[in-house]
Amino acid sequence: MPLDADDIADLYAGHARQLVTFFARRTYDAEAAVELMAETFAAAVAGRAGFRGRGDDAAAAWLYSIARNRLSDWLRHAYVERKALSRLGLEPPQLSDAELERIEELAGTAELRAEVADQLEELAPDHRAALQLRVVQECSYEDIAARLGISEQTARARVSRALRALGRAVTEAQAGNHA
Amino acid sequence: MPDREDLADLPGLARFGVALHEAARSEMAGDRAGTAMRRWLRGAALALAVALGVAATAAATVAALRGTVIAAPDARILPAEQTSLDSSSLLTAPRSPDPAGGPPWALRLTRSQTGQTCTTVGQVRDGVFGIVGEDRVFRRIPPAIVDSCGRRLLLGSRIVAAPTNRATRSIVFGVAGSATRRAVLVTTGGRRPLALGERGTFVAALPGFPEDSAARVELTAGDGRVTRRSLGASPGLVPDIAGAPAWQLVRYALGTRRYCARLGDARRPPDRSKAPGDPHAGASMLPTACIARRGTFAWAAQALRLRSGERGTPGFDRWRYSNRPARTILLGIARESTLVRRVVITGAGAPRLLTPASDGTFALVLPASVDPRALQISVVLKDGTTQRGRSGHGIVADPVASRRPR
Repeated sequence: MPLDADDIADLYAGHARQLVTFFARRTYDAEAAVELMAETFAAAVAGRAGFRGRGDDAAAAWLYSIARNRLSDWLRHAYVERKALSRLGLEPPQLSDAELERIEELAGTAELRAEVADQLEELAPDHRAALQLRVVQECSYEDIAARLGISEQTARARVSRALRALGRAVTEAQAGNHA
Repeated sequence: MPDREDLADLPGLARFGVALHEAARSEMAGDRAGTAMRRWLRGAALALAVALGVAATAAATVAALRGTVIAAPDARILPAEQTSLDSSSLLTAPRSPDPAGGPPWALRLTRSQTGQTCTTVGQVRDGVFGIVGEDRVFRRIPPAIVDSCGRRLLLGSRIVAAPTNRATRSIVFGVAGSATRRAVLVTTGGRRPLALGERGTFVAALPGFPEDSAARVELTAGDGRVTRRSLGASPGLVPDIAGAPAWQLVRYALGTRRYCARLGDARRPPDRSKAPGDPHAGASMLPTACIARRGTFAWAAQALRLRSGERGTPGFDRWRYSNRPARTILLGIARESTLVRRVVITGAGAPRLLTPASDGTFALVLPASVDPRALQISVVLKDGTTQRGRSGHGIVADPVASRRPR
């Protein structure tokens, strides 16, 4: 049965905070998380006729399927497409710095960022240098090898090891946050 | 479902929830009012977009036409407010040449069973009111077919879709009332008076979509009062030159250290492979202009000269300027959305006044003959102070090389 405006409001009241946290843990960006949450709910309004389920659990599952699609778009484009918000004539929420920090606190991203920063410092200097060239400056492995005076194979290995080390740090930090 | 959560610690989210609820109610109320009309639109199959009362643009729907007369809708599905009386049909006098070279455009009025004024936009050939379909066949539009009905000021812009952007038209129309003394159409091409017909009616056919010409209408009543309505202009939409497809400003946070602005096509253009004859086919997304989130600059701006086919270095989210005429484009962003009140650009002829979008972004498209280095930017801040700069002011490099200018 299609959702009406009050159903959408109930869905928002029950899930807005959770959804912002969901996005913040995956984007590591509180502002992007807020925009994604807003666009998700706007898309839910626009697509309400497509909801065929019954009950709160079905509605929540449907909402999160929209959310995952929005996240996937953001990962592809690195910006939030505000198509549904524009259609409704809405702007994303404007949050104060204190509210953004609160979202980061809910998502545990502050601790995560600190953990990643610590882990970066723990990396061997040559691994850290290779990682920064690859991720921040988007150099090819050929370029990295030329700049660091190493073989391309060594450049690939250093980046791979550095990413694995950071990945372990992220996983452990997230496990700690979600506990 | 989880219990309703208190958002006292996130009042911005709470406010948005209220706005979302209101928007949802309005959307659903609009659905119920328009259901009968939408049924007719699907059945009659015209490529039109409807605006009623206040200015709006809407997506066009393309469908096939059949026969020589467009079939009137089933009267059983139409509410009385939108059922016109055949005897009340009036083809108003003003005519507007068709940018695509077809018959001129006109406005027909009818009266509904409940006394509302109903409008229909169409073309006139040999005294017959109708429309030329995508199959190039002219078909009569009977009086029973109306676009919309209402009371008092009726104003809108209907999109007549076409296979290519070049052939798309926007038909500006209005019923401003007999007391209207003057109507002026303002577009990127300048100002021009509109001929007024019976009951203050007017019509103007423009190439492209409404945002491409940033169309606005100014109506002067007999007592001198001026009413202005936008039919395509918006601070978030940036018109190009001479009716070329408009741009849309986008602002986003890049990581935790930057805010960035970007210009992209306001409407997704046709795929180049599917529209080889359309000079505007192929999507464009321009280099970013970024500012430090916690820096000392209140705003940042950069101006680039771009030529068709140019693109960024290979990589993720590479910028591209596809199949558009060469332009000099200024793109700017305020560190906080409300920090910049207005922007004045000099160095390219007469000073240009820009109103930032609600997210603090602003942009201006100029002929390629303008040297980006010659542009001077004056920004009036929220506190009333003025800052001046040139291209590059406050800009920080995007960490993604393929999004940076070459």
